[in-house]
Amino acid sequence: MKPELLALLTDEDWRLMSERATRRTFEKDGVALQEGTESRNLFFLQSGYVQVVRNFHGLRLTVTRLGPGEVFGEMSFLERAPAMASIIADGPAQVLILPEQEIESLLRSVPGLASRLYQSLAVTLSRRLRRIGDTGDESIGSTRTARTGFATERQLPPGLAQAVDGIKQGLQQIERQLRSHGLALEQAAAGVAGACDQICATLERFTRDDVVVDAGMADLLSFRDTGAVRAGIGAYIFRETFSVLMTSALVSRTFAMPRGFPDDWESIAAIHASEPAGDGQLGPLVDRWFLQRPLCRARRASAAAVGSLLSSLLGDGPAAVTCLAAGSCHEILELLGGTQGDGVTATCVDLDQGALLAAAERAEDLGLSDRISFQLGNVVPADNGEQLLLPPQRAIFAVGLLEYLGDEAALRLLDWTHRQLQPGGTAIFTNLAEGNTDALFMEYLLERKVRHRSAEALSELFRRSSFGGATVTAEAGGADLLALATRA
Amino acid sequence: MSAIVPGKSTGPQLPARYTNLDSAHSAHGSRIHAFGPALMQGDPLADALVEYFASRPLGGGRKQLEQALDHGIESVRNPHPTLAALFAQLDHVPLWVDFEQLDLGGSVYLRLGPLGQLALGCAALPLAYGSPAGVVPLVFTGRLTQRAFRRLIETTQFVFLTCKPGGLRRQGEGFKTTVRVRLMHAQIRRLLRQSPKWDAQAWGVPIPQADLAGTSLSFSVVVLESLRRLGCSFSARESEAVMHLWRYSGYLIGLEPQLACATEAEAMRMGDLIAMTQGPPNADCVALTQALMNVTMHMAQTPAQRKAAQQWCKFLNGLTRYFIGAERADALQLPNTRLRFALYPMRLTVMFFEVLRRVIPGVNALAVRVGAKTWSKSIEIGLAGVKVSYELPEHPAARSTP
Repeated sequence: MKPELLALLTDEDWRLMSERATRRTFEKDGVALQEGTESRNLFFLQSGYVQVVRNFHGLRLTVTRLGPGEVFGEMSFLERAPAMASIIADGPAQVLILPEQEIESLLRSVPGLASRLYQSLAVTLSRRLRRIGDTGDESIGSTRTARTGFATERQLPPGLAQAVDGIKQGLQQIERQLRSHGLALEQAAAGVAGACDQICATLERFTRDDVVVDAGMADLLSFRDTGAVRAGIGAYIFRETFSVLMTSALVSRTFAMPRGFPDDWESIAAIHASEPAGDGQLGPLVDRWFLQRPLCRARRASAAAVGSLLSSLLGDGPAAVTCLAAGSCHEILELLGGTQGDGVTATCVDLDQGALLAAAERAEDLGLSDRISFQLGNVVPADNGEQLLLPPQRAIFAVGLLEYLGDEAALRLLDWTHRQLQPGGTAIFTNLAEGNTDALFMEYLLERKVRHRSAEALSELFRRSSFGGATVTAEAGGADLLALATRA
Repeated sequence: MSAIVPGKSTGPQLPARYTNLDSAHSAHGSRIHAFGPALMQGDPLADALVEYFASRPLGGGRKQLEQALDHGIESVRNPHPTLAALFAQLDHVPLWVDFEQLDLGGSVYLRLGPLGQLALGCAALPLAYGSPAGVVPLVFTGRLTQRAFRRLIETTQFVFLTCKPGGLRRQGEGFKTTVRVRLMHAQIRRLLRQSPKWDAQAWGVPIPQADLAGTSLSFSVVVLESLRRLGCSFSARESEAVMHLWRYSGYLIGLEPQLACATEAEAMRMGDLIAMTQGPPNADCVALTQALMNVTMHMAQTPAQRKAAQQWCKFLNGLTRYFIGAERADALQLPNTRLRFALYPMRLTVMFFEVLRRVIPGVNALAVRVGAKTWSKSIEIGLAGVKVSYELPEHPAARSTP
């Protein structure tokens, strides 16, 4: 079978190359090419899957997976440099290996082969680059916009400044009392939680449709739309409360997105650990408040629900499961570390190399390294069709991913998921619900652009996908939805 | 059940606010079909411009607008097509415009001084506030009654600037203010369309052409008729000039030419059609009108001033009842006070001064000067040093003649 990526070669070229190639079969975990070794061979994957694995201080990270028809070893061949990654079989894999001497001999004897081969390899590399560079029309990582220039001073609704000042004064008073030991910690925590709840309530009160229309009318010749005025009101509350909210470790981290992604693995780990931290007198108390907000509760509840579903779905038998946008890989590590799931192997996919390395380290500590592979990559198939490859999976899930994708990107992801599942395999996805009472807090104070979906909208998304439908349920707090779909 | 149903009587779907069509049809025939679509039409030129301005950085749209107003569209570097199109319409002076006649119409208004302001406050605005759909944009502000005083003062300022000599000439303040108000209307339209609470099926387009037409009638024929009832007299030339002034003001504010009335007779007919089809006043209309009647209480500081203001409010209620008629006054729940009897000596006094003005040379000119000062002083007191921003100036959607 001529590799698809070498389409520029003629059938005769391929026949000559095949005749001179060695055919080898690798069993699971068999090493076809070792990182750092000098190899000038070209490898053609005939059947099965292989992982391209890089070693980071002893921790293995899968950079990508290759499937039938793919070529590897081409970079070492072209650069005459040691292999940058190991190629390890994901299961039984048949590979044609064309030694350098044979290639050189053919290039010299077959007219035009050199240009056809090098052009084909260039196309291969170009596609790989595109796979890395093109994350589709939706990028999960986000950039911040300036928080000024949305509304004029006159468009700030009457009572807004007073309401915000009242909250700030209340918090300052608590801080003073804490410093002078005039307030018990629990009383202070209740006071801070009340004040922070007031921030959310103020945000809700002053961004209501009628208030925003009224505010827009207060300065008509500024020509601001309701969306801009609402953003201006949100920006005002953001600026005024920033110094207090950012004393919370988790709020600060969620806002700052130090990894370049929302819901990065350390934030999720902090939500699961639920141990308040922060700076100054108020920081830990603000953190404690945030950890009990619907958003954090929903993240914990959904992770637990997904874990429970996986346990019942997978049982003890051999099964492959993949976690998308895995982050801290909390659910997988819980699953594999539990009493059930002895025969389960897992793949954790994430864009964040740091997250995967941290999870790999934890897996090693738990003695689970041989059952989990960590794959670096974007799970959302790109517009150009480039996508990750997985061996057939029994289950694929993602907690807190769909809400960062628009409908089109979400559909591509669902269709891709459908293709990666074995018949009867199950997909589990969560999506923040329209009823999430932290939606405004997330949008205006944490700068998180999230697509909250209704149960109907989420069902409709699955209906439009290859799955043709899903069972959608809401977590107890109503802030998150869980969709369960099966490949027929 | 009406035989003429909004949405079936003419091509486009008409809003539910267009009511009582069978009776209106009996009185006005096919005119009701011609007028209906005006409830669904905004101001395409201004609407397109505010859409463009919304995409500009904060302050950018206002800057371009002021540049074009003060120094002409040619001074704006690479003007956006929407800005160029609006100013092409504004800078084009229709053939029928006679600037001398505009000044005459303005001088008639100015000489009326406090009487003109009374006609505005006690006839034009209450009639406007009698339209349940017309007041919806004001209801949306959430401060229906709190802004009554401010709206009255800004309306007074708008009328004063329009009536000043040369006010509607290209560099006149009346011209510029009218254009700003036009764009404010467009922006209100835009904001209300973005509100999920705006019920287009019930109310049509926010501030539609029909309401702009009503506004024009309020400032022209409503004021003329009200002042006649108060004893003022106008020559045919003068009343024609007043109609001319507000017809051109209507052109500048985006009113479609077919809805701009050139004569009092036309205006009376259209006013009657509007009154018949707008439906009875609702609670918002009542609240708005009562807030208007009580604006003087806003300025009272001492107990004595408050007592005087209460008496003045009673007088205003009586005057409004006199201007708009008992039936409409009752619908707006205006009290029937005894101070209405003060109107009769007032009418006699006005008639006496009108005779003096007509027969003694120079008195008319003096009346214009004194009247203009009165307008100016009222605005100055009302604004109390606050610069007019035209945050939501009253451009009453009046519907009717008294």
